[in-house]
Amino acid sequence: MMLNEANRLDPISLISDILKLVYEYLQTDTRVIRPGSIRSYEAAVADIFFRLLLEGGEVDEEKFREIVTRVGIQNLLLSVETQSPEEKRLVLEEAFEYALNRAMKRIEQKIKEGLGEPENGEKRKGEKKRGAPGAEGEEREGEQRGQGQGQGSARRRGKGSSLKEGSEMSDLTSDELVDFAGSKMLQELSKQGSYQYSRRSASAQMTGEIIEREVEEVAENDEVEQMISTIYEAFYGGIGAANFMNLAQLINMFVKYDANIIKKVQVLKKLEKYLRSYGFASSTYTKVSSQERRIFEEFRRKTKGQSSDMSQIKIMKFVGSDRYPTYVVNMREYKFGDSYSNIDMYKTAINISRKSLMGKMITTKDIIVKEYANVKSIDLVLCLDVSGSMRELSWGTQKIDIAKDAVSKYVQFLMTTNDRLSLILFNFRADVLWTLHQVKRYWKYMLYMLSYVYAGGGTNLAHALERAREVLSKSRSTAKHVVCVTDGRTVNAQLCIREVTRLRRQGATISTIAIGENSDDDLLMKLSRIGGGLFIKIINIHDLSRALIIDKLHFL
Amino acid sequence: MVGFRKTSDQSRTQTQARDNISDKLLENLPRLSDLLRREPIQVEKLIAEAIRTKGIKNILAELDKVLRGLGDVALDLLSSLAIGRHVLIMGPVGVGKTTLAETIAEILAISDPPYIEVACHSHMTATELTGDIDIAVALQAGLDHPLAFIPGPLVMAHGKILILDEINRLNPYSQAALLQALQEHYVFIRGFRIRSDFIVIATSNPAEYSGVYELSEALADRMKVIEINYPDREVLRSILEWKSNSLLEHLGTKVPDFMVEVVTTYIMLLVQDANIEVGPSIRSAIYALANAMSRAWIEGREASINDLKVSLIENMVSTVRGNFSSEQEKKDYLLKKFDEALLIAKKMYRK
Ligand SMILES: Nc1ncnc2c1ncn2[C@@H]1O[C@H](COP(=O)(O)OP(=O)(O)O)[C@@H](O)[C@H]1O
Ligand SMILES: [Mg+2]
Repeated sequence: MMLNEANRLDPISLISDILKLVYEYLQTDTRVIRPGSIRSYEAAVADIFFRLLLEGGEVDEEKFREIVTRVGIQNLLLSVETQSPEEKRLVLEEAFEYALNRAMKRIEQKIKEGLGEPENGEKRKGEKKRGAPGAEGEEREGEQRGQGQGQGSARRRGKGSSLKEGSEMSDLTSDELVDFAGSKMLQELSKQGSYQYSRRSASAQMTGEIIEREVEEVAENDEVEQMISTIYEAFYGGIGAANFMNLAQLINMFVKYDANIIKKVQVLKKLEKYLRSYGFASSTYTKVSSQERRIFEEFRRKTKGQSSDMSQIKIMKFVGSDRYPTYVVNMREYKFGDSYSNIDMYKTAINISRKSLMGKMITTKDIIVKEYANVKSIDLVLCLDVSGSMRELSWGTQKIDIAKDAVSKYVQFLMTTNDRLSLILFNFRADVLWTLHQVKRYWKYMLYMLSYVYAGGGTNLAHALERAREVLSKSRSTAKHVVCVTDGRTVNAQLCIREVTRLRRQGATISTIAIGENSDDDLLMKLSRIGGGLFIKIINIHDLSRALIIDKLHFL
Repeated sequence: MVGFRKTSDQSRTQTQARDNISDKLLENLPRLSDLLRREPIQVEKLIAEAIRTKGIKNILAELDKVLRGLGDVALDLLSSLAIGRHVLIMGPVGVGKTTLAETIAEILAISDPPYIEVACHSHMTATELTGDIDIAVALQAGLDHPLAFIPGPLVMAHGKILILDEINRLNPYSQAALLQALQEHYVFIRGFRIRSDFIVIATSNPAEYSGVYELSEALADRMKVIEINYPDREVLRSILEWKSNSLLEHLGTKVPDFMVEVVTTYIMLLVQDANIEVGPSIRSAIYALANAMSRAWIEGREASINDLKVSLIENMVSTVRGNFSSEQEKKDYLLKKFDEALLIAKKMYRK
């Protein structure tokens, strides 16, 4: 059957169809380990189409087959994996042969169905003429007439898309072509295709739709693979570099940043095993961490007396007390059955250390418990520094692990409230790990995600503040609060100030917690002042959980 | 006294002039703030536009002035550039990979300069590709001083074609930097994010060469492979004749047809030889021919077949690789093959 006819139906659909068949073939062939990424198939379709255009019209069926096969293989070669590399080319050639034969047969059938008997007669005449040189123009006319009869006015634009018409064709569609060249997605391509050609042939449009659907299926199958390659890229791209990808960024490559936390957890579950294989998540996290926690608490108890840990927390308030979100209504001594997260750590600690200094017994009276009025709920955004410096050790544990521990305590603490919490991770860029969710309901998911947070890369607080603003812009709560935890110096200090000002204008308060000696206290203090929150300075990261809670209950 | 003042004036104006020049040169260098304000560029559109305005025929005609028999390959290259697909040109040494990439980029001329080229090597660091901030300058003159930020090729290639010659020598670290730029269209340098859109034409030798890294899967997935192989006999012949004679033009000599015939036959023999894994390059053949001629020219005599034999072995022995236990064995084998080629060529030539 004549190729012109075939292409006149819809060249892009035809090419997509062929590649779909190639994919099918490779999927079922046992010699193939990986049938290739969707990206390479997309590129192949566009590339083959463009290559045929460059040919300038001299394309007969043989040439068509040759170009589709060659350019197709060029595009798939590095993406497809076969058991033995030597036979890859052979397998691909077989796949294309299969696909071309199948596709051509389908088209023949379609044409047989589409064209009535009398035209076939006329077409055959046209074919004969083709042999004679110089008969081109005449023949073209003949063909057009044939179409006119066959498909009626619906085929009027047929001329523009025929590959046979060659140079003329490139002139006609070159504008479209340039536009077209920019779009990389196959979906878009086939949409464009069916749009462009739908006016000409109903059957072509149908194929277009079928392909679209099929492509979607392929895309789904390919999702997992894409995931693998993305992770691979993420970590491969990150070794020791300033552009290390944080967990939130990684997850957000697969879901929208403000997706429901359950969705995010699902993604993380899929990512889990790769994270583990790259050494970013210990498989026995919870066990280790509870052990670690016990050990470092022991450590602290031992060292507390000597280094007087307490004095290492400095707090500065820049709080207009009416504005600052809190909801503690009462303080009382401990009663049996009180949740331990309700204990006022700071007050209790002071009481206990005073008692032990005086050598007196400690009683439940010394343990101070807060009572909450669970009426008002606060929307909290926590920006956590996950830059490379957080990998440093502190008392034998990585700072990031201690910070995670502190945040998980914070989450547990917030469980008793109606508050919503969002966590933003930032290194050289910031991403939302989870957006505002009520802690009471979602704390399990939060703790799960938290356990996979890892550190690496630079520090960009301004971006985190920008993200916080994005998150809070969707909040309708009257109490909005942002806490920034960082242990280093950020780039773009000026931008931070601008972002905090904007946040403040939005009605949020901002506190900052500075860890260790390297933090940029001047900047953080300035941010707190503008933000109307607290500036808390802790030398030892082990005090982070306390600092977070102090921030929450600032009135101490 | 007067004289002294005069010279000092002179030297002052001289330094002033020099300062002016260096100021001007500095003005032409990009500043970090400019780089941070960059707009995205759709390079593939520029290329499609260039192909359209120049016309395929003209492009191929211009290419033919430099390379023969690569028209089809060039079209494969152009079609993928026009849709924004990065390309890897793969093939044995000296079949014109680098030249093809450079020539096509020059013909398209979508930017000034038409392309940025990196000769990849195994010790290349990621910062060599991305560029870096010179802390010393930045501290003294500020971050925005033109010399404070030394942009690497990945940054310079914005809106251009980036030629990565011998990409197979790129170590995983640099590959990662490249990958990120391709993937995110941004280059990250010490927390700064610089937009960079470019299309890569990479060249590579096949895997059997030593000292190469595998391309990372993710990087490979973004590339289409175009293979160049040895040209067929007639094309090879015309290339050898044309190129070797153009090397000899200024000496006023010309390579005898028969010698071209012998070398062509010789290469065809070696390429098809199962004992040889890496065949001779076209470049080495061209130089072998020219060397034989210039040697004779120096000694003021006609070039003999023996000159050709010596010069061929000299030029090729280092690039050819195969199943040989020693260099001597390889050399002997190559000599034996030459005699064979000579016999065949004689027969062919007589016809
Ligand atoms: N097809 C060809 N036509 C003309 N000259 C060629 C051809 N192939 C190779 N050459 C010659 O060989 C030289 C080496 O080419 P080059 O691009 O450096 O090869 P590669 O990068 O593949 O090693 C070129 O400068 C050119 O003179
Ligand atoms: Mg080269």
